[in-house]
Amino acid sequence: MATQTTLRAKKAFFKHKLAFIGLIILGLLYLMVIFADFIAPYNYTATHRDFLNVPPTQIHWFHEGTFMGPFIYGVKRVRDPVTFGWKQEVDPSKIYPIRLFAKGQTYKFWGLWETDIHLFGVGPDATAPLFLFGGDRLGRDVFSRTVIGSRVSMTAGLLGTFIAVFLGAIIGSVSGYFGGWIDVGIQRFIEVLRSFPRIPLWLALAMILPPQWPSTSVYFGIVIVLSFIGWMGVARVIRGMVLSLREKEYVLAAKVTGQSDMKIIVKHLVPNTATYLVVVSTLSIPGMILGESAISFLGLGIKEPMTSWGLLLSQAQSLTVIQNYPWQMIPGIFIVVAVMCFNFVGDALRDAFDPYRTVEKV
Amino acid sequence: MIQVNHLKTWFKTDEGMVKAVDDISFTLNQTEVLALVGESGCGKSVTVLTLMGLVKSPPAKIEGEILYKGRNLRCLSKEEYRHMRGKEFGMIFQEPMSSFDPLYTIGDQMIEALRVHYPVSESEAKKQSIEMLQKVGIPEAKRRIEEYPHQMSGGMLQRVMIALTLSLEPKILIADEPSTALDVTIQAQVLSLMKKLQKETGTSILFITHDLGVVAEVADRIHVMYAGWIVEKATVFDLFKRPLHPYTQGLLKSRVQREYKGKTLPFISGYVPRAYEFPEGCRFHPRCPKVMEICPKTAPPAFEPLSGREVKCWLYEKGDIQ
Repeated sequence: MATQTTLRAKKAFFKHKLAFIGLIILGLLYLMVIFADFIAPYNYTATHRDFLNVPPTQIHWFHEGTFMGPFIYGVKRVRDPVTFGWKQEVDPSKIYPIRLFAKGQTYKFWGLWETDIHLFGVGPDATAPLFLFGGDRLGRDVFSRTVIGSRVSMTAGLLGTFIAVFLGAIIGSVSGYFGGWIDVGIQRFIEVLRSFPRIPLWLALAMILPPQWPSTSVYFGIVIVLSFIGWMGVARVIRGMVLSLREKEYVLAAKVTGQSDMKIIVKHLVPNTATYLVVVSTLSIPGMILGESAISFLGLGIKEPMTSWGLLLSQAQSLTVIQNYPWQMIPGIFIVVAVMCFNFVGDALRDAFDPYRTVEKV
Repeated sequence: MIQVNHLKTWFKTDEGMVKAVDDISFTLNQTEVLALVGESGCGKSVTVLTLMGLVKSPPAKIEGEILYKGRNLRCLSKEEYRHMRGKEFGMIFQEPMSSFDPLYTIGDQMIEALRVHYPVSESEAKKQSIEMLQKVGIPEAKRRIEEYPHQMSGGMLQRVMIALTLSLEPKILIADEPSTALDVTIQAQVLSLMKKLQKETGTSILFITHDLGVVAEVADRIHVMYAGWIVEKATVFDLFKRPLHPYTQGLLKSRVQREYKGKTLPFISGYVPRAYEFPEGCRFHPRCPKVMEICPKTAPPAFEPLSGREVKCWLYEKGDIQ
């Protein structure tokens, strides 16, 4: 592509301050996805029986007036002199500094090798756990679960969009290129599918996934359900573009040199819609993330003990939880931030690649 | 080489039946340049697309036969036809600028076309393409083959187009106004290049144009088309010396010539009728200066007033002329 066009696109993109910030945040989020096991101080299934629904651990910097660096106090169990029940009390005599590359529970990094090094932690002998976002009803670390849950939430959107855009591009260009009854058939089919309300359709499709499936299969099932709905918007846009592209002389030229229809579609039509595909993809990722969250929130998606942001939120749906343990809603903030970042980046990409705004938000 | 008999290509539209090509017959001989001449909308391009099997039928209604190497092309399967395109019939377009996909280098596109038809390796195809580019006079072919279409000028690209088409060694080359989009000096270069390569390879050329000057330069025989008909067939020499059909006479008169200096050019009054409302009888009669009583009523058949000449006009009903 001409360098001028690239330059103009770059300029238009970086004019959006928010998009730039969004890009950085997304970069950090995906780093978190890649190193999730390492960043999380605890395994996502690890329960701490004595620390159910505890609030976020307080991190201290000064011990009796002297600077110590970040540390947490230990906890000791004492008998309540009135009720004689066990209760926990901060034990200022025990100090556990938060260290980088601390030893913790063992896990398999990327399923390749076993290690017990975590990005940060208080070591295995601490009497108190380090719960940055508090604990849930089983005494699991909400922070660790949020970090590990990002793997599902952030990649389901990406993978789902990839499949949806792939399907949409192929089906849309077939529809636009051949025209006639193929076009009519595909377009009416899309119209019928699109006239179903979206969430019930998701739910109906998610219901098909057998409950006894292992979590990885469920994950891919969800991705397929999401992309099954998502491809239609893409297909419509691409069809419209192919309708005009197929009249270009180079398509006729390809035909008269004897190239097959499929090759013309894949090599000459789809690549010429690439910039639009990029924009459309970025703008449809947030929808996918929300979709995954919605399905998991409603209990039809990712199942315990696996985690995803939507599933974590679903544990915070009762009034009791919201009132007493509000820290369990923190994963929701991640959803909001991720969705907003994708929207900012998508808008900026659209301004950069598609100045005439032909792509609508899907 | 190729023989077209009573070819009809009709399109059904909301306005009515469009008889874009209506019962035309012609023969293209080996190593001959045949020119189809006519105004825009007379059916030249549809004729060519029908020959190439690129008019979908249905919806279009196609009748007649196209004989090539003893076979009727109309009976070929889609896949068989596809293999004919490029290898047997090459085609060059009017707009070289838009005939290349902007996303690929010209080399990619030449190699791609070659490999559709010939089982050659990528490097072999590239070598052949570079040779071909040198043949059509592209300087520094080795470097230029890596360039994108937008980096080349129109004349260059038309040469590349010719190189691409001829590298497939087609038996018949169809040139659809190949020089119209080029400026005059480049036009002459491209035309003489085509002429030269045609002599070398022995290809037959079907030349589509509205430019009589170009025709005089390259063609052996001329068929004049008007409103879906071929109204006159002649050799170049005969046609320019003695045009028979009133339409041809009008066309020749309206060329820019020295004797008209300072005066308004003569022109054919009226306009080409719309394709869905061709007049009854002779299709040229509303514009014809020599219109007779019979013209609006009955369509003229082809008469042969002189040997080797064919003309669709009632003026020549009596047969031979002086």
